[in-house]
Amino acid sequence: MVDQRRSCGDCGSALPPDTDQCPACMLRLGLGAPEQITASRSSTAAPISDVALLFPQLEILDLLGEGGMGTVYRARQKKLQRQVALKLLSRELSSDPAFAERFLREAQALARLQHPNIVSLYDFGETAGYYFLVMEYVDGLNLRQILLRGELKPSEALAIVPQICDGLQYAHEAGVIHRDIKPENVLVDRSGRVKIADFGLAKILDRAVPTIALTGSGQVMGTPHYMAPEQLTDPRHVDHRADIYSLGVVFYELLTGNLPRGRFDLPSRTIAVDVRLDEVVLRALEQQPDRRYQHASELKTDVSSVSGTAAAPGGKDVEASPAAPRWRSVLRSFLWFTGVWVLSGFAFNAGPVALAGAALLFVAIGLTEARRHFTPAVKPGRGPGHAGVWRRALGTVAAAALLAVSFGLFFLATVNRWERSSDGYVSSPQEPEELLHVGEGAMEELVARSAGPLPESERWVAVHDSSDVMDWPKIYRAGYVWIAAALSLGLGMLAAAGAGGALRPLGRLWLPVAGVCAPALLGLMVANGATAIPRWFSSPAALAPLVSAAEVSGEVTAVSDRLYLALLEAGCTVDTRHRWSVVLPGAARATLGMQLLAGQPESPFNRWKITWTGPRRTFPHVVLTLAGPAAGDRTVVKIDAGRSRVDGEDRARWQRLERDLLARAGPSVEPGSRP
Amino acid sequence: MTRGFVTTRWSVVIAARGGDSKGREALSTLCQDYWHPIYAFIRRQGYAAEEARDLTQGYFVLLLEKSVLHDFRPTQGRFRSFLLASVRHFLSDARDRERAAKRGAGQAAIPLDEVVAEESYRREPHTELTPEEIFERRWAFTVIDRAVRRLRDDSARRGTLEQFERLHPFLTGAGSDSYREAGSALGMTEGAVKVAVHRLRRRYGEMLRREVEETVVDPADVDGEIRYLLEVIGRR
Repeated sequence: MVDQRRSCGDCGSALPPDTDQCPACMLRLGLGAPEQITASRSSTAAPISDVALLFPQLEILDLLGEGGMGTVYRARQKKLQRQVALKLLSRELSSDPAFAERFLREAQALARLQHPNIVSLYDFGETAGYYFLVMEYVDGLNLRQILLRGELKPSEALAIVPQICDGLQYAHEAGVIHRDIKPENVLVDRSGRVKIADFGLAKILDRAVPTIALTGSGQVMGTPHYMAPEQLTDPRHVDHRADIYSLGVVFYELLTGNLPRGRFDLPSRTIAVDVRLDEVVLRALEQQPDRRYQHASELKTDVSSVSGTAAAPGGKDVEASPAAPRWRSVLRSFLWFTGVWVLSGFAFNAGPVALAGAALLFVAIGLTEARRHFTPAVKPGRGPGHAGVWRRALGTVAAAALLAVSFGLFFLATVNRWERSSDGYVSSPQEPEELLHVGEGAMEELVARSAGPLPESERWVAVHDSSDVMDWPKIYRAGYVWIAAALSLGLGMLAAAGAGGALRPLGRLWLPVAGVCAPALLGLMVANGATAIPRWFSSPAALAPLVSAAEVSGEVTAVSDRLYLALLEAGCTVDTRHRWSVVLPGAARATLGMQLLAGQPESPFNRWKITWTGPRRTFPHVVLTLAGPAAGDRTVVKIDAGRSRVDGEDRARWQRLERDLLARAGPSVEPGSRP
Repeated sequence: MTRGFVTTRWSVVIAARGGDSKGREALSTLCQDYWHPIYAFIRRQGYAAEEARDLTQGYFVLLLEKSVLHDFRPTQGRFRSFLLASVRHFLSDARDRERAAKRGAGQAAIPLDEVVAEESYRREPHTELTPEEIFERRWAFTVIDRAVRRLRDDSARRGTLEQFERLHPFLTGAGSDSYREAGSALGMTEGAVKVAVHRLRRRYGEMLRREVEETVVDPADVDGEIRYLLEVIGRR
């Protein structure tokens, strides 16, 4: 009689009395595909019922498979009602003291990978000695199964490979290397989307080199056929280009059905495919990493160009990494907005605004270019994650630089003039003492001086250079600068959103705002010169640039009937080719002032300004072209909105003055008539 | 008809539920292979060896004669579950038992090797096992046994029977020989023995899967069934 308490030397389970061979070991030999048979020791082999106890939040549906690294179950998350794949890693691993730390670090890196072509990691952890990963469940087949079916067409291979490239490129940019790309790890779901599985698992399992084992000593069987040469010689210092080699092997196998071993045939000799694909495959399979494709994206580009168009035949194309289209759309809207800005700047003849916009445009284009060139590669010897951090840092710095530049431009364009207008009026440093100031007195002065010959130094001038007429500080003070500043800020944020910095949420917030603002600006442009201006736009802030623009075109914009009469009385010729009396609802309620805008001592030409103060909603600017009493004397007079209201006694005085003026002009002159 | 190499898929039986001769034949072969677990189950119910043999026989007669399969719900999908459920039903039904006993005494529907069955039953440390557990354990052993037999027959066909006899203990490392000893006996180098053992394991694995495949409806269930049997073996 045999000893009843014998146990199996391999797996430790008790041996039944009537056999020398451990039934458990015998059964395990039948598990999985033959090449995946694991040595009995490393089998995790937890029955579904046990697993269900370990994971109360999951409904364990069935066993998907068992491999060297553990067991995979199909499960359903009870709350979310979604299917997941639960991977239990071999229990033996927990005996490795470094494992827990490595597992945590790597799994965290993997959890950050979110890409349509990468199987997502939902959760991970350790429970009852089992390290586990909860992953996206992909309902489909892996490439090995598809290969075994033997029905893969070259066109289908050409549709699959670019998607693998996308997933790899994304992960590589995030600093994660797969290390074990092979047909078993590339899944294709029912809709044809390719998903790369087991990303970085090789790193977690610290399996730099697959060990080929025939007997059970805890070793795992694997295949070195997909490993890059440097993975076998120097496994600790492998970079992302090892994945590109593995992808090359997979690509070759997808095309030809064989592995590129020894002196292998070129794909185009084996099957009917474009000869250029030989080049692509060979370059991916270069022994020296430096001679391979340096990025998966390059491989994709070449494959796509060979397969005709960007869209690979037969397959749905390939979403690029999610960052790319977003960046493009942000860039597009950015260019659009800056373009609008530049155009509107020119349309309003607001030179600095246009220049600032143009400068921003160039900065943006420059940054875009720079970003392309600086797209970080996963460099050899660099730890995972560095590239991602570097990219984010670059994006943030770029966004900050963009903001700084746009603000700087506005500072340069405005502030040096701005500070001169502390009280709302232009106070030129050259302003002579005897010049008129704002208020009713100014009107009196105007009338009085115009009545007689002017002193030489105060001759009214013809304005030759349109830029002389521009009253930048006024314009900015009037509020235009705030619109522009808001624009620059918004555009900066947009750039930040594109660059992927910390400002991205702000950039997102700005998008709808900018979407409203840009048409409004366009509307303003269209409204330039139109007579019917909505009430909101007749605010001083909105109209200032319009008046400036009108000045440049040499047109007299508007004149009050009453003022017109008064000026006539004063002996001036008033050009009123264009009337805009609607915006001057009542000169009686306004105050007139007069001011020297820019005295030029060496020039006989001085520019005067008549300042007009009235209720906010009345017309803020009136520009007059006046002909002086002396022949050839012309001047442009700008009547501007002032700051103070006229009421009480001031109002009475003004009315008196106006009456006087009207009386002097005589009743025969009809308001609004030509001289 | 070489025993052990007929493709007697459980699915054939299911497909032939109406009872055509092909399905019946398939069922008969299956029963022949898997009656040990049934016997052990009945024995564990408290019947004496003689009685158990008659009941087993009677059960199979009933199974093959009547279309018990009509009651079978394919969702169960596994021959093992089906047999266990139906034999339980069979035993609980007193009239069936009586009738079966009568019939079983008369004719042998299945040639039973009662001595072997009884011996292996006795050897089981079954005191703490329920009849169901005994049934399932015996089932697992039967599966392994049949897989090994398939492997043996296969080796015979390949002309490597001697190698099989010598090397099959290495399937699990149960052999007392070393590879070298086995090699010298077979006139092979140690390396060649390793390779041969590796191949033998793979082939055995395939045989086991093929064996299990015959007892399930859906081939995709093979892994699950093996896993279940592993669990059965592991229970103690």
